[in-house]
Amino acid sequence: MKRKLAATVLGSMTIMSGVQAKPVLDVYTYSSFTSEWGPGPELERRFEASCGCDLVWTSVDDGVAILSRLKLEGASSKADVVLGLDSSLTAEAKDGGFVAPHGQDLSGLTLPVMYDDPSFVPYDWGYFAFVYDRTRLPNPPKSLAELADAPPDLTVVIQDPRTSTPGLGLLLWVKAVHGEDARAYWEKLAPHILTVTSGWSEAYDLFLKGEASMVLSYTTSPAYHMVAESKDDIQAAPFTDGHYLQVEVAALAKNAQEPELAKRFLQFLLSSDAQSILPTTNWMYPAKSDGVELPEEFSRLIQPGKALLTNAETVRVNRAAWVDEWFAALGR
Amino acid sequence: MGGRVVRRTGTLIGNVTALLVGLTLFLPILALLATGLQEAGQGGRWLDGRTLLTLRFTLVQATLSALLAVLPAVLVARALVRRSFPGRDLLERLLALPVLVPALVAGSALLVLFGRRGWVAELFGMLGIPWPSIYGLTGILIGHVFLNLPLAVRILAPAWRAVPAEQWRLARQLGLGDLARFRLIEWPALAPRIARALGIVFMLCFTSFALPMTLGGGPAGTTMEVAIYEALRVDADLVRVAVLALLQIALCSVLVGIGLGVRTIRSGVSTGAPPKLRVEDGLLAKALDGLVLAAALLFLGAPLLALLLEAAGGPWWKVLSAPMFLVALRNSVVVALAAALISLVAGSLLVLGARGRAGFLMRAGEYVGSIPLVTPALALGAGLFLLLRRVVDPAEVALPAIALANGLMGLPYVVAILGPEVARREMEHGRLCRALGIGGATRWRLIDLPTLLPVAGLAGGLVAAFSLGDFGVVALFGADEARTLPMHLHLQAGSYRSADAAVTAVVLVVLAAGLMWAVERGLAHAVRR
Repeated sequence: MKRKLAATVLGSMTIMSGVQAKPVLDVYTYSSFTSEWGPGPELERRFEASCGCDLVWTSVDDGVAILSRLKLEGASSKADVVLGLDSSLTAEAKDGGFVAPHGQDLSGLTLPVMYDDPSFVPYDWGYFAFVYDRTRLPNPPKSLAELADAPPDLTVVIQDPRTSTPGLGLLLWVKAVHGEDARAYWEKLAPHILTVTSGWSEAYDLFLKGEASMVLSYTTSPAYHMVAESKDDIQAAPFTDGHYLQVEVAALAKNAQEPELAKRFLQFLLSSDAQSILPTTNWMYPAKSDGVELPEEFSRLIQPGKALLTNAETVRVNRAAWVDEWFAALGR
Repeated sequence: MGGRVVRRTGTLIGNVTALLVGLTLFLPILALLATGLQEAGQGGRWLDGRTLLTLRFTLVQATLSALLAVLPAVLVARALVRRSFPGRDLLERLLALPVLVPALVAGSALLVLFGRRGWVAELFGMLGIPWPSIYGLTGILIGHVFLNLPLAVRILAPAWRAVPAEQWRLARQLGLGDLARFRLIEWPALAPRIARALGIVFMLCFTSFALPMTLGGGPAGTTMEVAIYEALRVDADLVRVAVLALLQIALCSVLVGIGLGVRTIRSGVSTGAPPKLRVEDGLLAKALDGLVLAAALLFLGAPLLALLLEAAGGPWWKVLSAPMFLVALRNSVVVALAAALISLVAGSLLVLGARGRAGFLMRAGEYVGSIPLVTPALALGAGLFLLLRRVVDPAEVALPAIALANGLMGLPYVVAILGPEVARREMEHGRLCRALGIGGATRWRLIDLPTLLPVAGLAGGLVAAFSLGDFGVVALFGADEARTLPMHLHLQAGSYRSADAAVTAVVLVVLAAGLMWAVERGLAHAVRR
């Protein structure tokens, strides 16, 4: 606002001198995206270098909170672009009427699944995976079923599907693999579950402290330890069932004040200029990898044979019932 | 006559304060309710089976946590207050530290001690005894006792200092034994404070969120806050958010209200508490106190040591010199001081306004003062967002909003610490003041201020230390510029920077301790002048 105000004041002064003020592009996202460790600052620098605009981030708690904010603001939202929704939440955003068709050409995406939603532009993606320390667990399970059948001293930390997107991802993963038998699967897995944390960071911390043998994270997690700490003890376990996908998407806001600029930003998001920032800041795969050079460490990550992704509308309709099922199996 | 008018003015100011606090808390929730009701097609699932199970568990764990934190705190506070030995003051400060550990890191610090690969498990392993898993109710209780026992000690300790010197002397002359002394002299001063401590710890544990999930072992260990989170973030059912928030407030108010019924028992006229408590006890009583203190130090100190060790080899310079760290540090200090000020001013007005009144009216201020603790930050934040955005970009006022929310959450401590003191003074001087027509500014200067200031330091220090920036209330504000240290820590932990986060955690605790000490010292200075 301050910057917007400054821009307006500056604008009224420069109009007099015959120069147009810079338009402001408001992008809603989540806070770890715009923190000094996230891709936000560098993306902003690169986009502003060519757009002749002022990119202003509004970053809320997490991806789910973006939706809450849009919902509370209704038609008077100042958002031009919404960035950071998880692929399993897109139906809620569309249903709420918060987004408009983006008009982007989504051909040439390098996602492991077909993705051509007219409302959402995927910008990065990753596979959920159980991550382990190979010095502590030499023979990790090779499927969800093996995980549940593992010896009793093999423990996992997972996240709550009500408060965490990886938690929801695992819920959908189990549902995609075990379908009707999901409840029985959760009951079988229950003794191995050390605890269910509210967010990813609490779970990962417990794992790093050696409390659990495995933690629900991403196949890209080992890349962080290899790149930043030169350690390759931490690995992701490949599961023969296939791995559930998380696709992060951006969208044009329904009531965007700068729709043309917003579309230019969405286009920029898929450019190699922007895509090359994401792997080592967001620790995810670029959605369009042409012309993007991945760090060497990424080639040492596991490559799941099969990608799983449930249709967003199916998730929207069934989520509450599936969480109830999960709670009934574990909540006693 | 004049005295009565002044008293009415005091009551009026107290009522207005209570009204303002009440409005700040309830308007946002009512805004949520109104917005939710405007949208058709909502509602239905307000209290389903899952929510009822969660509610039951929340009640059970909060009750047990309160009892397990406060009852041992009586022993610890008693041992601390009655004994004098070299290093006693240092020990008292050390034992207060866990209160200041952010819940974000408390769980992981406790696991270094009690976890599957913790120190205790290793010790047991060497002895060949299997160490049971603490995940579940046990873990939650350990976590809550760790965080809240020191708080209870802080609330209880002034009770002994409030016992008139004459009574201690009389007890000595009569040769009263330890038990008789406790029952006859200490208990009457202690009872109202125990009730308040139980109430506060109960409320804190009722609304605790991330810690019970980390240590709770599964969804059976989740609290009502999770249900509220789900209603707001996932279901976006504003009516349900408001209903659950109001239910939580109503339930806690009723339960805690019962506790507030315990009032100060008439203690008689006194020339003041002794500057130093002297108790003559046998060797056994001394040994028992020593044992209590040693156990407390071990239980409360070891996780702190774990935090320190984890950060010892960390990237200190890199973390401390980061520009955003400095921003967060500055913001946290500003928020803490502002919150302490808000809390002290509003709390004093509430307590003084309630003075000399009877029945429900007397307690109204204290009720209102307790509500902020059980008002779910998420619901309050969402409602505030709705109201604020009509007049300003919420991101612009994120920092003041954090200070206000933290200041309000500090009210119960201020009321708990100041309330009994003011009630005692009223009994001692109230009638005299009225008889002599001392009121208004004169009474404030001669009686109220000297009564409040010494304990205000204790209360203000505690609030400042607590208020380094609980940021739940601004989750939706877009508060990048208003980063506080807890937010900074949260972001580090969420970006794989666990070594950085360990350093920040130690900084947080040290800063909180420093602020607590500085505010206490600052106000103590004011007393002497």
